[in-house]
Amino acid sequence: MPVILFITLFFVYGFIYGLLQSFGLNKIIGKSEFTLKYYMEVLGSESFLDSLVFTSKMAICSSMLSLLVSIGLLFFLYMNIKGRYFKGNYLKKIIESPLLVPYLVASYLILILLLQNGFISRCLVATGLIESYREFPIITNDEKGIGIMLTYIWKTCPFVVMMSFPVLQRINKKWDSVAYIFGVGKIRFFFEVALPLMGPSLLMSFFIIIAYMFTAFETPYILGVTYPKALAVMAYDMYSKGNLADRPNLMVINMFISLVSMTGGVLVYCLHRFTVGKNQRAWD
Amino acid sequence: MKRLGMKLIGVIIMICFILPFGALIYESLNFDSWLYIINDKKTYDASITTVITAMLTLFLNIMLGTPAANILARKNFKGKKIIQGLVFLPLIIPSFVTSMGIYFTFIRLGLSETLIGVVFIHTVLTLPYYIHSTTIGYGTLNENYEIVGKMLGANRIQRFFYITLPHIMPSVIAGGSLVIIVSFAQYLNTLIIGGGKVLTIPILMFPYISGGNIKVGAVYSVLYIFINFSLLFILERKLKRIYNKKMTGDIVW
Repeated sequence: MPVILFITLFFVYGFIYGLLQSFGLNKIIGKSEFTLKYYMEVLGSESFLDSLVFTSKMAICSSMLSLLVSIGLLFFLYMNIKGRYFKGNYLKKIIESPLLVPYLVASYLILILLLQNGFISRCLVATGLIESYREFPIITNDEKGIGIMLTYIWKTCPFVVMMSFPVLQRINKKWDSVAYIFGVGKIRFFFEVALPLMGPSLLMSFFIIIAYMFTAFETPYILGVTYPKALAVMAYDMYSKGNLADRPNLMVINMFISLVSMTGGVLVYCLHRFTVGKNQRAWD
Repeated sequence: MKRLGMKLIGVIIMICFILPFGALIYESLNFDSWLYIINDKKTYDASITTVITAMLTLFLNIMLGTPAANILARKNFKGKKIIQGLVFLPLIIPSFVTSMGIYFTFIRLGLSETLIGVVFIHTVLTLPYYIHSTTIGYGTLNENYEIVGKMLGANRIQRFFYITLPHIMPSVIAGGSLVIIVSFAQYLNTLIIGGGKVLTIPILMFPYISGGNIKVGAVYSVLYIFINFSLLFILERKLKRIYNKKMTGDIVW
């Protein structure tokens, strides 16, 4: 199959090349020898650890929040199925609309929305709620990364909803009447029956998001601060400075990021296998 | 009362999701920025490069991915799991890691800072989506249809174009849409491999977005979303037409 050759040549090769460099082999300049020196150097350096803490904090906080908001949204969508407050499909379409823009544009949208002299702050000034835009809190390019988190939430909630909504639709038809007969209310039904059923798909999207956030570049680059940087931004900065002697250190960071996202990938795969097996039993 | 409350919550949710788009439209309503972009030759170059990159990526995907999907969907052989893993590897390993690793090889091959090099990288990254989608298409196609064609004397090429392709077309188009979305969204890999010489819209608008002229960035974003949507729209129209034909039985399969 030519596709194997293609992927090996243009993808696996690049990865292995990076891996070798991180061990001090295959250097562009200087003598090549196997060493763990670079791993020691990078993993012990303060800027790396700060970045790591910052990135993990961002990833974990925003995926947790995103999960909570998504559950809220799913609950609302569930109530909507029951109550038909909104006719047609447009509620779901609108919630899913952020999926259609790339992260680059999404970060930019949040930037112009929340900038200190951005859209919201100008609206507030125009309506007279605040005196001038200086009173508006700085939440983009801030040290706590609120802008980054908001972008992630805005962008990933639709994804989580999209992954779990089919489960909700399937339950709706089958077991609702049973619950009704036993006198279980809508809210209790959602939290005690529907939510556990959505559990695997929610967890799966949770890991996908975390793994993605470790590798994300655009959002922290646009909305982040100069220090501490997200890991991917740090890697890119080292790369673009073009210091060839730094290459092995850069590759160590890259390998670290790959390891985290690979772990995420394996977890998702295992969960997927688990759900497929379980689903067959549960739904039949 | 409860109805009203739910409606209110729904409206608030919708506003939260739409607000960023509103801000974008508000910022892009600026005549000077539009003029600036329309007069800039780079805009046209970048738009054309972006579309060409996406199209070439799609073409390579179809050429490489379709046979792979065929084998993965139908044949059982030793090491199938490994090949599946290999195909989905680009989803798991962050792409800029390999782009950085492969850059020096690309210099040696003369592929760095060329459109072809960028297309190759985009293809590797989009193949998992395409192959996944097309594998599902092949999974629903009974091999007996092709055997019937073979018995009636159709050769390999005829069988593919008259029997297989019409059946898998919807999943090819669905996979193709994903390929276009992903290829459009690439920034970092295009920058690393293209070295700033291959000018796609994301590369062109990035300086404006990250601390440059906000209004010009807004106009570029609108343009970018517009081109992306038009391409997807064309693909979807095609898909719908195929489904309609199937309903009326124009394509016999």
